[in-house]
Amino acid sequence: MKHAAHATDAYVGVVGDPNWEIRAQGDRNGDGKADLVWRHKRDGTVYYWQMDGATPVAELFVATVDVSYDIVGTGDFDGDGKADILWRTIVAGDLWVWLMDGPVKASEAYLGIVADQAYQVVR
Amino acid sequence: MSLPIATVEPGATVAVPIVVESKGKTLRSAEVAFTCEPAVLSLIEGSAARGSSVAGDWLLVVNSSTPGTVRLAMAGVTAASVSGGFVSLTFHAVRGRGSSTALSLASIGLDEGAAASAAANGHAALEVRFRRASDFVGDFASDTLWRGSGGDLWL
Repeated sequence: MKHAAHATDAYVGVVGDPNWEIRAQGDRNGDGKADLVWRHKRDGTVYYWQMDGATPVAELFVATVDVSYDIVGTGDFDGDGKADILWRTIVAGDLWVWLMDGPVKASEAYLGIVADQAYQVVR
Repeated sequence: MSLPIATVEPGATVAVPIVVESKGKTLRSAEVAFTCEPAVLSLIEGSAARGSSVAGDWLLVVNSSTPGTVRLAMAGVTAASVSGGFVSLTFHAVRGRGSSTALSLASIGLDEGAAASAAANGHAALEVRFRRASDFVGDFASDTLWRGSGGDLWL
């Protein structure tokens, strides 16, 4: 779908369990095409779908992260052309960034704390 | 002489092949100058490479000491015609500028001015574009991912 008009409608697949949520989009492997990050909201499992347009070409386990941490943002934080993941603890507001290379967390960095939950990351 | 049109993302590099057709005429030397917006593109030092159609004994000298200007000088003992890849330049798209620039042919001299050049098309557009996070197709436009109540996904 492009802008307000339908360019194409392509079926991607089905994930029937509503506990699986798409928490981030963005190019995570540097191929110029957005990929998906799924998270299971009850057990914290994170999966990465490498996409080629509407086709998931790989479904890869990333990690299981305590559900007190929430994915609140995405973007290329280190300038390597691959989208990274911004985490925030739900109660305390600690912010961490995972610098990603596809499904692999290359490194992580603590960014600081925004304790006031009235402040939300603009997505 | 011709230059391609290229698109590059901020922070990435782009190789720009420059093609010369001497149309059977032999050359011993060439001096070429290109200009671009240095806030958008910068030549990667040492990246200039002789093209495959240039005689093997030709030497390439690059001067990019003036920001936004790239001067090339090539010369060889063997006079040769050139048809195809003349030189390749690799630029770095300066991060965060998010704009486009022309890589323009500023001047050209062949055989120290002894040969005429028709280089009116010496102009390349290099556009530095931002990739959108929701671009699934790779065309720099946003796509919309839908999820139905049954978990079905549509793009």
